[in-house]
Amino acid sequence: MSPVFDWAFAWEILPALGSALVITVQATVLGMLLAVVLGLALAMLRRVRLRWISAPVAVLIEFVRSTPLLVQMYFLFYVLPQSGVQMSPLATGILALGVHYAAYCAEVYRAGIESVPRGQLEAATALNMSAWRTAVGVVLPQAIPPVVPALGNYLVAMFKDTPLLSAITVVELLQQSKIIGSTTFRYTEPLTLVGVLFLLLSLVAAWGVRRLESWLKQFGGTR
Amino acid sequence: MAGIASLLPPLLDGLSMTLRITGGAALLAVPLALAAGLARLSPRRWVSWPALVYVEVFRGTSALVQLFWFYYVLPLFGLKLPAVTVGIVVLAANAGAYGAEVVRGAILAVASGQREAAIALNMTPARTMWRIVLPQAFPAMLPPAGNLLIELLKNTALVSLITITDLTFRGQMLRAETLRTTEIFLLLLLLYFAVALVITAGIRLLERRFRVR
Amino acid sequence: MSASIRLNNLCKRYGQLEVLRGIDLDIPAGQTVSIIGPSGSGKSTLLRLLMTLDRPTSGEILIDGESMWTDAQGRAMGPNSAHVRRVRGKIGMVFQHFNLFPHKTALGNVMEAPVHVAGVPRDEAAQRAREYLELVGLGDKIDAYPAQLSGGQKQRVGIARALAMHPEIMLFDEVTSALDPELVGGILQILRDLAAKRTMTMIIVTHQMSFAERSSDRTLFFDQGNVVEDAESSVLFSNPREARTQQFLQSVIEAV
Repeated sequence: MSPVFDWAFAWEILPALGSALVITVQATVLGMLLAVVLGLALAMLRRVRLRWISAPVAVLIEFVRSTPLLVQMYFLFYVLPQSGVQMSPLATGILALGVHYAAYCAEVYRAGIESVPRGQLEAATALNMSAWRTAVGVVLPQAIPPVVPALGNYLVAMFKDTPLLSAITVVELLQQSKIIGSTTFRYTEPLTLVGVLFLLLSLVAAWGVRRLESWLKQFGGTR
Repeated sequence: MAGIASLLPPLLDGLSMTLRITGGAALLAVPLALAAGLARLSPRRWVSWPALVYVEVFRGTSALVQLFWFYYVLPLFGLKLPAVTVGIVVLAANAGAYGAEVVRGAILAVASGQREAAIALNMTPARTMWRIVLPQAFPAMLPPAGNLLIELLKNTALVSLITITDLTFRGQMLRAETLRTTEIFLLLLLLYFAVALVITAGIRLLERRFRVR
Repeated sequence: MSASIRLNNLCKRYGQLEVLRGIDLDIPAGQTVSIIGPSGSGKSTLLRLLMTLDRPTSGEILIDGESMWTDAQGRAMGPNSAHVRRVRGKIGMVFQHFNLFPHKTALGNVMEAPVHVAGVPRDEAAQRAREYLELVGLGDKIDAYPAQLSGGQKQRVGIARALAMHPEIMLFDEVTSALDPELVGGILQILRDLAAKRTMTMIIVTHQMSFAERSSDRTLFFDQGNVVEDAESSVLFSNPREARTQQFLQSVIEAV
């Protein structure tokens, strides 16, 4: 009768999980980079005066936020090759993560931008600043620092969404543990280890975000 | 265009499974969130610590990993449950953990003066919570609860990966059969979006009904 | 029915900050006492300790000779123990920021404790509540919600709510400080009427100097956690003995 949890086996599979972890971290970091940049672009487009730009962007943001990441991932994975775009599964996954979380980041940026006092905009107008200058030099520098912790939380959330990449054949942590499980018929150790790894890393990341928040407080605090 | 009509029946079948799982998990998540949120606030360590562990574990790990763990590992401990039950229970536990923090935050946000007034009137802590704090905390819980409900809806798509025939599963199967990838996935996204809009509207109605005058 | 208060070497510290330094005080039943002093002198903290909202760091609080936080055998009691609740039941408080229950009407606010704490039947409690609201001049607002009331009206409800539990000691924590000036007089009149009835021991923390002088028996001047001066009200205001008291009263007059 094999033991419930074989520690020796767990130790053996750690290196394999380690290399999958590298993929997971890659996906998270690159996905987040895409999300914060694209999200900012979306947030600014949403504030453009021309309704025929801002309205569709708003609908797009709502649409992406309200529909499952898994389905969006499948969509890109199957539809892109049909349109002639050839990307590796990992790249497709990063694109899906980036676009999905860009929608969340756009809402975060929006909250930050809207909380900048009107007086700032009025001062910029009085100094005859252009809309672009106002945005880049006055609004964004005040809008972004307070929302960095919220962005940090989305980084942690994205990290926890990377297992979805297993559905489009990327060998990240979950897929690796399923591979180990199906070849050795032992699922308990790999899945438990993966669970624990996620828990540890997200606790560390959450702690990091809290430290960031306290550090930011000295600059006038978060909103 | 007529082609869409042929795609609908299996997809709507999947949609009904998705709705059932969303509803079942939501019903289970609400009492879980209330119990865990209140437990987190308890001064008694033996009450607040288990709640803290539950909340941190289910918030700190991936929903998909949780689903897989309970689906593959639980049978080894002798508990062989149907996939749908596992899906509902795990998603409820996940949503409940996030919900617990919403409950806790809303209760803490009720002004301390309210508790002081209740103490001054010699109310017991239980009465204070039930008659003074919770009625004021509840309206504040609704908007974040609405967001969590939509998160739950999105998470149900994950159950397709543990063999449950929800909307996403049906979509995948249909794609394999008909190769009409773009139409199918667009339909999937639109159907999920429609349900999300209904949920949002429902929460708005509740918010209006329970606004503290 | 009114109760006496005795404080023995009462101290309260928050971390490193000493807010009350060894207060010794004897307040006989039925007396009306005003407490004046600068912000941060510990006046509100004293009221909070009396209302059991906080526990003393050291020292004793005796209500009618009974210790607030220890039972007859000298054992320390918790805030929700039967002992502390019994003592607390003799004390009522009106707050600077009203703290009305926003989800209940004026009538609901006043009825809440009688029904759910004192076990009074609903009809009787409603009748009692109506009478108290009439007493404070809000007979026509019993079905209004706090959001629909002015500051002065809210405070009247606060007073009625506390009175409805028939306390033997009433604490008033700067109850007019959050009100627009023209509403202050109305509240002070209610306090004057209550004091005249002599049915309760009243402790009033206030910045309204002429009220303190004319409508209370005794005035305490607090500064930096100590009772600097303690005298009959008319005496303290006309002839303060301590230099600090004189300084304070001077600065208040100049501010007018």
